[in-house]
Amino acid sequence: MKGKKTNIIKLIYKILYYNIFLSLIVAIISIAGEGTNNFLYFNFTITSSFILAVFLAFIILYPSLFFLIYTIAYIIFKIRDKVI
Amino acid sequence: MIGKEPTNFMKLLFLLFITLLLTFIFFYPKFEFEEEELTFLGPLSTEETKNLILDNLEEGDIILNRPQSFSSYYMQNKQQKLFKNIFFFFSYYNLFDKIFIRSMGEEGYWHIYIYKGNNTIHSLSLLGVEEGKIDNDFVENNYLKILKVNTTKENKIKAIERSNYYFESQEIYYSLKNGLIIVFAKSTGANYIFHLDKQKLVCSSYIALLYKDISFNLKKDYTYITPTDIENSDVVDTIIITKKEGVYYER
Repeated sequence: MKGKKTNIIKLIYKILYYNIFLSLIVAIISIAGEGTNNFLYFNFTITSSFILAVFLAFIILYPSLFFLIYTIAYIIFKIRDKVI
Repeated sequence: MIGKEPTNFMKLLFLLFITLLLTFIFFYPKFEFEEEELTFLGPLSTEETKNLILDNLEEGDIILNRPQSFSSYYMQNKQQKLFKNIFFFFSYYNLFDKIFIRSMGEEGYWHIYIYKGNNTIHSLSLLGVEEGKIDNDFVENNYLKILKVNTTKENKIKAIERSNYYFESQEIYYSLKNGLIIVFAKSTGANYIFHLDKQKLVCSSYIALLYKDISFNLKKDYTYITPTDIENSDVVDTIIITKKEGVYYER
């Protein structure tokens, strides 16, 4: 029982840690997105509004991606344990 | 757990808590909307609804739409490259609808078009200024709101001419950065100047640019106009609303 608890905490820790980089990268790429004439361009010019938008995107993405990844990882582990 | 992991774990949990809290502070759902004085026509068929809309639409009118459901939106957009991955699509739909759109207002219209006559509509979407048609699919898969702009015929003609020009020249960009800042400014009521580029807009600020001779919200520059600002503006009248229960119409 204790071992299982530790595994879940380790899983949460890893997701929380790697999610920082994942959310930041997704936030920067999506905020840089601009489209016209049927093409999507990426404009990475750093301005104060760009930094604000990345911050806003990060605070939305971090909890959303955490719950999404955690749910998927938890289901995968549950299925794997049952199969084994 | 070894070494610094327990303290780091608490810090990471704190970061999760703070980001959640800030999301709720900046993007909480709003429940304010005005009652419209329209006649309820009851549920109509897709064909009847389309005909009613086309009979009442005039050049320069504004159309707001929101998808009826996750599945109807998926069926409409599954051909697009970006939405081929169902996992990405599900995340996008829920984040966009539940966080961005609902934080601006209760009715939650996603997109906004200008009617330019002959069953043709223009709008600014992710890939630039696009032209579309009001067909059965459009009416069947979306809840719509038709707005009439209270302005002169000349202003309406100017708006359509500008839209035709931007459709040809494609000099207006759709900017996700500006979109997020506009939603943030609307949601929190922040009146700061964020130095948004005048050529990088979203769907609602594009409509405000076309109608730049009038103002949908006197307190704001056209770059900051959201769909809710247009919907609740004093310079527009609602003529038709299609909802789950049926069609509302101004006789």
